[in-house]
Amino acid sequence: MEKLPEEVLDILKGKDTIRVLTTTDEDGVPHSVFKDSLTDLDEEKIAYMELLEISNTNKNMLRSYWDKKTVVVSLLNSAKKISYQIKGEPDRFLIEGPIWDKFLDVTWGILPNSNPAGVWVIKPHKIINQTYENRLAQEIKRRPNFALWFNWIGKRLK
Amino acid sequence: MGGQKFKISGKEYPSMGRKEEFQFVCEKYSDVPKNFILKTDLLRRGVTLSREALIRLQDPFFEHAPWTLFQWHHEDQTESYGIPGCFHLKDATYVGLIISPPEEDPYYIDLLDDKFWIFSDGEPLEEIFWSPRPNFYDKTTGSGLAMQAVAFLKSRDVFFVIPYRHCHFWNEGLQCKFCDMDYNTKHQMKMGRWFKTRANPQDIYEAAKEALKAKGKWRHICLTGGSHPGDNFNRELDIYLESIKAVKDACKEAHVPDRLPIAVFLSPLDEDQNNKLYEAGVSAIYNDMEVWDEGRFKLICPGKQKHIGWKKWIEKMNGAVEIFGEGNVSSIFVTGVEMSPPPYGFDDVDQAINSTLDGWKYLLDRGVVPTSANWSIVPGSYFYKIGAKQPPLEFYVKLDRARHHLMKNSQVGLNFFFECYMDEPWSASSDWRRLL
Repeated sequence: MEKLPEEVLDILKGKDTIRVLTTTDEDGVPHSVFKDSLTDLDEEKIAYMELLEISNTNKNMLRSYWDKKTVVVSLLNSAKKISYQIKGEPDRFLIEGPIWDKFLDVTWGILPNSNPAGVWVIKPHKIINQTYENRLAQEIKRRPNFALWFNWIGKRLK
Repeated sequence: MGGQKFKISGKEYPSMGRKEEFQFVCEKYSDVPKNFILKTDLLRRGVTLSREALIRLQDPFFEHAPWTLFQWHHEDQTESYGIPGCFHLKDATYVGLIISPPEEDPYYIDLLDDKFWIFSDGEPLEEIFWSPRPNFYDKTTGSGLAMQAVAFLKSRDVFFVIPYRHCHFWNEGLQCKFCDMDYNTKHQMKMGRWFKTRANPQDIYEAAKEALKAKGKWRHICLTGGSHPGDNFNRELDIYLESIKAVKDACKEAHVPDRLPIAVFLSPLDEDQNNKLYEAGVSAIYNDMEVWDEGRFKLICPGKQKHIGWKKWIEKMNGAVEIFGEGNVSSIFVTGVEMSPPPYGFDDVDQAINSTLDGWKYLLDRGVVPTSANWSIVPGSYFYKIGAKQPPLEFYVKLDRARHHLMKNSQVGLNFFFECYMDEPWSASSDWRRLL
């Protein structure tokens, strides 16, 4: 299990952050959807409100929980030029209690006629800073000659 | 759980202990989610609770199940402490709480690091969770009746009303062989617990009005009770019609949308009677056949056979589809009784499964959805008295898995919504529907 860094906690608070959840179906085919409700519960857990009981994502999440399969959350905040990938496992499906109540209030504030299914809690086990400069630096550290051979930017130079 | 001998494909079914049998079934049916298998076995074998777990559960935060239509437990509950009706696993799989004596080789519920867990031979299997007590449980109606005597929680989704706790088939000694309804009613009365055989519509109105205040709860309402064949079942129909009116009035007061779905468990009715139900606001009905095979239906459900009969039962269910629509008529099967001792059940797992599946396919093709409440061998029932034993775990798992394939390939199955996974803690059939 990995703790969520401050930067992730910060962009999870931002309304302009794009949140995408990727799951896989029975045959291993990826399925990506936007989950605007996705937020942190604490430093070790993230959660989102599943709106549709019968959705493909919900079925994939159930199977991932049972089979201990990884799901991926991708975050992008363009204004701050920050993106992260969080790999984790579904940990619990909450259908009542204070967390469910809190999510329900927010959901009904936006979609008053919705009939949400429950709150999926995900425990991250790997958090990757996907911001370009960060990934570039990591790869150059891993394979230093990349900087030599991918240095020339050619005719795009003004 | 030994005693009665079972077969599979003509050969004697091996006798296995709890852990070995669970492992065997998990390996043989590796495509079946383990929690479905665990739930099925928890219902089959039941559980015992540690003293610490029981003490902790007396916290008024927890829901304590009102003593409902059936006892469900494998031994009489004579203690005064409160016991919840069901618990759920981390994936929100709901499991009915069935207390069992040691000879049933039950699972064990105890505390681990201050949390509730299911144990098998000392090994913690799954953390479990209990529902909070609904606020209306502690309120009383104008007549002084505890509101939980009228209506109760069945998961987050269903608000359950029992207007009638007596089945007339018991008057004639023709009750279903697995049933403990009237025994349970008498037992609860003897124990001095609140129990009335008939709920007053005013009490239902007041309890419903209070319960409907809860935020984020009750997607639909269910009414159930015993059979009353008087006046061609019009007596039974009238009990429900006045109860439905009380619930609908409460819905209006609570500003609930006009057609909050209502489902009713009742005897199969004629067209004009079903029309009355539909006009009263009922969206779906259950006409519970309990067991498919015609010969076994006659033996296991003698009251249903005498007052309606197998063929008519099916005809009436088909007729109800015309009124309520495909997927809005269901029939509960007491899955497991098709393997009750001879002459009532089959002794071969595959024979029993094939017989039941034939029936389920037939019903699905005609718009009726077969659902299950797994057989609980309860005190007061005929099968309990004759010492019937549970069929192998494999029987349930294989049958539920086969039904899932039928449901998946049927528009009727896909269109069935009035019993969601949270509403049916007595069978994994509802959990399989999460994957449709």
